Amino acid sequence: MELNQWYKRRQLSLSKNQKRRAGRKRNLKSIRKFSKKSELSPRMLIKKRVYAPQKLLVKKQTIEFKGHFGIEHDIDEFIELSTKFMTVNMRELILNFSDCERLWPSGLTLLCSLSNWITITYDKSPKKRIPVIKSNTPNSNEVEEYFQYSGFYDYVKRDFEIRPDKTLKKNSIVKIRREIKDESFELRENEIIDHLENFSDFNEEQIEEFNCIVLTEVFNNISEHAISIKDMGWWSLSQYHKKTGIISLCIADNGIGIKNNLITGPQREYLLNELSEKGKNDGSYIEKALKENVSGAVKASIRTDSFPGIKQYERGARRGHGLKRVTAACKNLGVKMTILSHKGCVALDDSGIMIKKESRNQKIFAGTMYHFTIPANKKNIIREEAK
Amino acid sequence: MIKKIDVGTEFYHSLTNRNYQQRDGKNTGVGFRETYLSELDTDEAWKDDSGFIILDFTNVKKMGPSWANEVFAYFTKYAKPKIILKKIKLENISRVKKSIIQNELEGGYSREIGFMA
Repeated sequence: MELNQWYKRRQLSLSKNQKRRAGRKRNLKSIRKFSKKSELSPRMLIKKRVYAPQKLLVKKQTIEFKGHFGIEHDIDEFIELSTKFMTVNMRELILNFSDCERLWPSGLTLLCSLSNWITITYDKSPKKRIPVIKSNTPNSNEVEEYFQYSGFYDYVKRDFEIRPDKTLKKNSIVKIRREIKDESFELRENEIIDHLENFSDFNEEQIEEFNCIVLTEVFNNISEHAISIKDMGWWSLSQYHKKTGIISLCIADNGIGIKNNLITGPQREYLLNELSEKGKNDGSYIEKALKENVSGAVKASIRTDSFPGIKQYERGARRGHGLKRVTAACKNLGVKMTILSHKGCVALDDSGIMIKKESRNQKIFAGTMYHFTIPANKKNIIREEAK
Repeated sequence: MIKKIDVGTEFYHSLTNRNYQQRDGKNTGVGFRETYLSELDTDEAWKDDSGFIILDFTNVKKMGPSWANEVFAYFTKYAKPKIILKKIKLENISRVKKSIIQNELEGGYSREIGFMA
């Protein structure tokens, strides 16, 4: 029997009280659309009275973290796993770290984003149905120590049994902290620069270039475009890995993402001529932001037909060469760069060549994360020779 | 006589913000330009390429592209990059900061659209 007919018959068969409990008549078109996303049939959705994506459909979901988790190790595995839980639609989410051998900084940054995003999204919901996130203590001592000494447990306010720091060397990590003050930008930049001076292969001039261009523009982006009224915060994590000879630097926020930023500014018309607003194309928007002066500041014209009293362009009015400059500097310095923003991901190798551009149906990252892999081999070799 | 400004001491040592929307909104490129370079914001000021001001970067620790764009590339509407650098001379500046300014001059000013009130 067709859905329309079934629904009509069902409505007729309900008593007055049952009709009242069932609620208003539903739009079958939207139910069909929602059914594709939820993997439940339209009839099941109607019977369960679940019509909106915000309703929590699945009671419990367990995510297994096996082996390594991080862009640094395998970006495809990282994206695949993150899409499973970043769009949280369950009442309880269990993160199983039993078999996790190593959690890389990018993985840790993602988990902080998840924790932060759930608080923002659900805290203000009318029924305050905040999904519960639980995790177990990892079997690996290394991973457990990392959770403690990277600042992750403090960040998510989880109780833990203090373990001695055996694996992480002093100063090899710039801990993760939630930042909300404007003064924090300069403080964290200085910490990161000290870290690069201690461990990276960069000479003085290269550190200056990274500081002046990459760090400045990324933090400017976060302060100007990413920190929204909802979430006044960002965080960063930097860690030196002796074995792989890299510094892994993550800077992230839970803002509206690069795509949404671009389509709300004066460059909107220019961009929509080339990319559609809807659909799976977050990666293409990130690519645009990296390659062109996407502000459209050159091409956008001053409009006179906007609604009076509405600040239509202020948010996007000053976008320019920022990410393009960052890309050029990373290429010059031999730094790999990956940007995750909502459902899109773009990765560049140390020659500035794009090795990955991906767009997904589900979120990869709640806001935007800038990840840099900075070479840190030579000083390591010099130290060992000196020994 | 050409004015000389010790940018790091008289203005600020960390030059990152384009305007009030970035970071703490202080020590911005817009603010610097309006304080020290406002006389250059006319066509007449660019009729000759004689020096107008010397900017000393001895005490400047950091300079970002956004700040440089707002201060220097703004004047590309009046003159070419070479002329701008003759009018606004740079002293005691590192190679990295100089190349940031050069890149912004060559890239042009990111034009302000403003908002409809």
